[in-house]
Amino acid sequence: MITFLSGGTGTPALIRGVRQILYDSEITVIANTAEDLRVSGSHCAPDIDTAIFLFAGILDTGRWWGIKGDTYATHNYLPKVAGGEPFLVGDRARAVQIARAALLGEGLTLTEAVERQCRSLNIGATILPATDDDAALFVDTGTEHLPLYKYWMAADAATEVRELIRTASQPPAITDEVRVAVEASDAVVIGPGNPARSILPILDCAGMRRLLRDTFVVAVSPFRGGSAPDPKDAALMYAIGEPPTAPAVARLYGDIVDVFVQDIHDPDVVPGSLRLETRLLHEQQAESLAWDIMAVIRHAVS
Amino acid sequence: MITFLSGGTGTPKLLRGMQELLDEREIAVIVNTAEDTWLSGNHLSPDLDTVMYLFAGILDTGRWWGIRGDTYITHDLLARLGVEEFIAVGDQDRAVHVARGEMLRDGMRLTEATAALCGKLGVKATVLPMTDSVVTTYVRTRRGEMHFQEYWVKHRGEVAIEGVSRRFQEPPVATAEVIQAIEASDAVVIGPSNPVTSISPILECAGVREALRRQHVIAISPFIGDAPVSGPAAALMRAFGKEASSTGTYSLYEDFVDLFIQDTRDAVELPGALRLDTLMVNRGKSLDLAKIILTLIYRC
Repeated sequence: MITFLSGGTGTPALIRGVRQILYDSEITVIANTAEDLRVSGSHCAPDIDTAIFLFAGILDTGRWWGIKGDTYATHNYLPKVAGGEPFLVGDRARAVQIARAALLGEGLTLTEAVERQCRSLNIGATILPATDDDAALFVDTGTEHLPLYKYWMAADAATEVRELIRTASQPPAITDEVRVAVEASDAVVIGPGNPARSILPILDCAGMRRLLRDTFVVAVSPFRGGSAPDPKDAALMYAIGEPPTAPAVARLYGDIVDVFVQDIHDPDVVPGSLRLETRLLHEQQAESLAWDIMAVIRHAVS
Repeated sequence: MITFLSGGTGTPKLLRGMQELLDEREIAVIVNTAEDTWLSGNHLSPDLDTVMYLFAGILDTGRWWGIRGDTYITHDLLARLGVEEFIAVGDQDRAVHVARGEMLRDGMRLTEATAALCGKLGVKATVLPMTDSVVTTYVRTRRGEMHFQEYWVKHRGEVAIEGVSRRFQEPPVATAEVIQAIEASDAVVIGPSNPVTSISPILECAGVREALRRQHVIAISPFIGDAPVSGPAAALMRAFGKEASSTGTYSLYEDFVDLFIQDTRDAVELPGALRLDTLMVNRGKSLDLAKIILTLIYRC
């Protein structure tokens, strides 16, 4: 069993490659929930949805979010009757979000609700929210607190990001399901997601780092020196006090990582890192990176 | 101005005729909200939507609910995901539910939310929910109480009912807008809507009956003999403790009605009732009945 910490678009792209090598039943995805929010009465969980859609074979892999071929009848009609939604929600994606809100309304935990959804879509992989607690992050723009996903999807790229803040009074904690999955894994792969937006919210869940210290962990840097990251990716990194570089990522993950993978062309040096082609522009590259990572894991844990 | 009390499909069919004869700004409609419910996270208000869609020109007049030509992508996928919505919510229709749900969550009154939606949809008539508080019609069956929409739409009215009740936290009170509309009207018209589930909830809002007693009120019976023109009125009337007929209907309205209209085919004799063709099976029939009622009101 291999477990992935996933958020954003990088890790799902890598997982698509991994699916060429492993059975879905051998894959667990721990999804970031820092971007979850209520939209139009339903439960929007972007990183969970991306994982669900990927394993259900319906993910729009052009954008790495949403459902392939989805329609937007409700979303497009909303501006005619009210103010409209802050970002695109497809009619099919909305059904998944409504169904999850209904399950949560029945009193299920997020973990149970996602499990139920995976079953109804015949998904073989295990998809686990990092936490059942409120882990929502907000972007402090100086004038307002924007939900992270709203910032990511709808804010102007020049929007100031002062700080990432959590409003829940209790720090989130990992679930028992996450603990069991990591303990049963041969290795954990931290995919190439933005640490500030996608990975640290998972690592910051109480219990997560300690769990990973006892596990073989491979982390892939999402940043390559010499190629400019998305301005919002950069802004979010600076908001947590680090530049968008591989050394910064290595620093943020710290001692939980056993093998740090950075791009073969990255001029920034992380001592001891494994250099691989990490750009995932198409399926073959993803499969190639997946092979390399699996080889490292086999070598290390056998 | 004329104010109508509306619910279900009876009064909307009359409004279809009135719409062509009157300046829409001269029409106010007080709408039953006792069938409202939160569905899939958003606010379903079947009787408000039918009236709004009618005046917006987008009503599916085959069914008399929903938006013409709507799609059902979300609703269909929800069913596959194990969430059975008891009514087929179209994708555009859902946008209206979402918009209203968000406005109510933001603390708007239903009256304000309805006005905002009407403004966006280009509705010039005044569409008023009967109350801003929550009151819901439930029917008692052997399987327990169920929401009227569940009884009528999901079970197609095929469950025996033993009673009708309204549930509320606080007794509903008519809004100031409702009372003003009644008072500012030349007449009030109660269309052939279901007396138990469409009209009585309006009459039960504190202030409405008193205002109607001071007004000229015309009511149209939805019954021909012991059968309603459409819908589940007969069983509901009996469960409500009333005879399922024009007589039973009249008994619900008699303290304020000035003119009671029965269908020419109705075998039930009601002294003083005016006999007209009330079966509005098409646009022309709606127009005919509307014309006669306007003549009665304005005597010209």
